[in-house]
Amino acid sequence: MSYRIPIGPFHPALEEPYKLDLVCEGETVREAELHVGFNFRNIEYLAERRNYQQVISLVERVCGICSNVHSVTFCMTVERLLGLEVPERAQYIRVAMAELERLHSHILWAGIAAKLIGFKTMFMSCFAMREKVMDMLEAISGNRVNYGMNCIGGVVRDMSDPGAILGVVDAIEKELVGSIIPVFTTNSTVRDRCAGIGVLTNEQAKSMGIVGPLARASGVAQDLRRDAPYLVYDRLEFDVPVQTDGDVRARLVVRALELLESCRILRQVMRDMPEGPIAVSTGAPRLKVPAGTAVARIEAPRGEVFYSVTANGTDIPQRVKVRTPTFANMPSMQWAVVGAQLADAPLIQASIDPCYSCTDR
Amino acid sequence: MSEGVVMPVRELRFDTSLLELRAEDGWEEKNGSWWVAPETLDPRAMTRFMLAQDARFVTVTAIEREGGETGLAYHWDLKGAILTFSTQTHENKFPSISDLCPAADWLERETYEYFSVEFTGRTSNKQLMLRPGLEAGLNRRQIGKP
Repeated sequence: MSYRIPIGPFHPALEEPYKLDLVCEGETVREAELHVGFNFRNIEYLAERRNYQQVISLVERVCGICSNVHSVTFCMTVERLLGLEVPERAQYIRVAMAELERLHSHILWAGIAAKLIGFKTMFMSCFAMREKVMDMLEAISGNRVNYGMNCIGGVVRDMSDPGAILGVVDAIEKELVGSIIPVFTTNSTVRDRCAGIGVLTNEQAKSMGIVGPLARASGVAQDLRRDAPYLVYDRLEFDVPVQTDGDVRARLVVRALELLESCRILRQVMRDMPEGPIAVSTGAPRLKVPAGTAVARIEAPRGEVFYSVTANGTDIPQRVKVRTPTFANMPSMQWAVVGAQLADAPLIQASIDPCYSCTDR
Repeated sequence: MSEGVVMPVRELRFDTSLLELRAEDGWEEKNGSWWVAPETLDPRAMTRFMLAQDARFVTVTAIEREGGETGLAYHWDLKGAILTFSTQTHENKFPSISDLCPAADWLERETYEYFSVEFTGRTSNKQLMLRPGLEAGLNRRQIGKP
């Protein structure tokens, strides 16, 4: 006999609201139905009622973790419409912010995963490590969540102390290599808890169009930083970790290895960042953008963020479309939990690294 | 691409020559994407063709147009390039592709809720973002006005 278990919209596994209805037979999940929209703010509509300067602040509120990603992508889209060339130093600073954001996002996720696995000391280690990145982001931008670093034409703050960033990178890498990565890749408890559950096959990943580490853990070797380079990623050396098992463990391994790649990128950025201006003047805030449509996308911590902006010659965009990575990834959850043990469902859903604030916008 | 800047082509033939992205076939590279705007677009032929090329469906962007219609731009990723097929609804209806491409399911549901576009051929239009009592077409100006 089957029975239905409603999980959420408010629940202990994640701080954000969403609802998962599971139909179980015994301890086995047979069906899953996902309900989102509890964070719906209609940011796309709100963006069509503000000037371009104001929209930067608005889209930074799409997500509380990868906030910088949204303001960068929006600015890149508008810069394309304006035909603006962003100064090189600003591009390097944008990359540095993006990789610091990836570090704190992946470490946050590692902590949550450790907690759900039952490895609570690792949870504490991860959050202590994340705090170092947050402190660095605060030192650079003055803010811990919404950094306010981007403007159309560049960035609003310089990075005055690259040595401090390198110090944080060294400290994080040491902890990653010394404890986090060995635990996530070789520890038998973690392996037993995560291997073989929540599997998304390569075919499923492709048909659902999933993105980011979730896709790379299912053997889909896509990363926009390499495949469609933007900013100065084409000048940087890094690897794109890919796993083929498609299970929770593969997602752990991909994100753990990506942390090291972000450290590698940050070192190159700090070494190669040229002197020079950090923005070009655009006449903001009453900036008028010529009619047209442009798109831009970047590789956020959870995968591809896509923006399309249509301008009509005024200072207010006619249309702002935002496709976030979790919006693309979340429907796959309904496949990943089917056949799993009920007790594994929280870990499986967390392994997608969902962001409902992003999804609902 | 501003609305209508791309030279419209009568129809697209979905064979591999399309992927040569030639100007005479209506393709234009601008502002981060390759764009094509056929007078009529068979979205199901487009979907079958693009999936056969191992392309990834990224999203569909809807924009309100006059007369109650909606412009639709289908964005695909093909080997790192964005290919965009621009078209428009007829009586604010358009054929669904979600049975061919599961990635389109949530996007069609969202587009229905924001712009009341009816994607024909869908078996269900379950609520996605809107709460009960909110009318579909939330982002159309005549409905969304404060």
